Amino acid sequence: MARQEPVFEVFARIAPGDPMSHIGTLNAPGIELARVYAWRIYDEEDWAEMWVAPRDAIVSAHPDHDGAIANGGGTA
Amino acid sequence: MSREAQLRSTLVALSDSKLLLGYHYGEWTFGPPAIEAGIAACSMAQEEFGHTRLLNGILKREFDLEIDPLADERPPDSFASIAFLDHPLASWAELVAANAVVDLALSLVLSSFEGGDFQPLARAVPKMLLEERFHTEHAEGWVRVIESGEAAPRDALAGALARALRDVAAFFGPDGHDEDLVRSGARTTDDDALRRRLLARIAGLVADPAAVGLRREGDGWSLIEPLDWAAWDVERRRLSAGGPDQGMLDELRGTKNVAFKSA
Repeated sequence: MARQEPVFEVFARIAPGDPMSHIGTLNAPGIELARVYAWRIYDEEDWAEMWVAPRDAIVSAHPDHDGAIANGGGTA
Repeated sequence: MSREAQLRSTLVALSDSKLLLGYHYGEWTFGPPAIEAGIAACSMAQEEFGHTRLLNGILKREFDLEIDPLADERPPDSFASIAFLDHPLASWAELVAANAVVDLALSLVLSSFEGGDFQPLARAVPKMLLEERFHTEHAEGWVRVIESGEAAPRDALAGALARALRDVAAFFGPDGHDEDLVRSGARTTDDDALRRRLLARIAGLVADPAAVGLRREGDGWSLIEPLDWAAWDVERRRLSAGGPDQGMLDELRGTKNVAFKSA
């Protein structure tokens, strides 16, 4: 069975001062390739900023999900 | 060779190699180990073709030389391309080696024109190198992924890197062949210095430099088996005869679809 690569979440804003939006997800073996893939895959806008984070580094702030960490595995 | 002739042959070598590199990246839009890598390969293909088009524009304007791939009828053995690109890349290891070694070599040559006095290229280089930064990150990311994995893919990559390094070392030519171009101010760094920079970069990237054919020499790196420059072709910047596969050239030129070409 092929190994499951970590999922990364991609965030961007079109212009400085705009709200940061979640624009997609991707699979990559590590942060280095996740950066390259994000910029290549989500290139439909002339983004002012783009950020990539491993899904399992994102922590829920909702009081009903206290301390929950997003599931980092699986398919993007 | 005059400054003008050296400039022209360097531009042709860059253009021919980028055309074929773009072909290989395009070929690997499908089949890589991850769909994201296919998208990256397709995107890199577009950029290489864009660079080829830009270089061909300079060749036409500055040297009255027409090498538009769609109009070009040169036989394979007149291409000035890096020999590693002559045939379809049979495995992902070969694609990663082309990405890590061949693409880097072409970027290093381009960078040597930045700050030089050949303005048509000096002006174009910064944007090209900005795009190339992602090519290098993609290549180095994949080398690290493969090197941290199982033995068979690791060995395949080491073999492909070793072959690519020899062909690229040949592309840079014998020491001093381009000193007039540097002395005249067109380039800021000579090919021998660029070759040493490339070998050091790859030696620092891989876990075992000896496995890719590199050994320490003074404070730098060199090929374990030195090249024999007797057969070096100054125009084509390579040691091996032959050239790109005719089938690849036919696809690049749209040979089977000439009937659909607008008049």
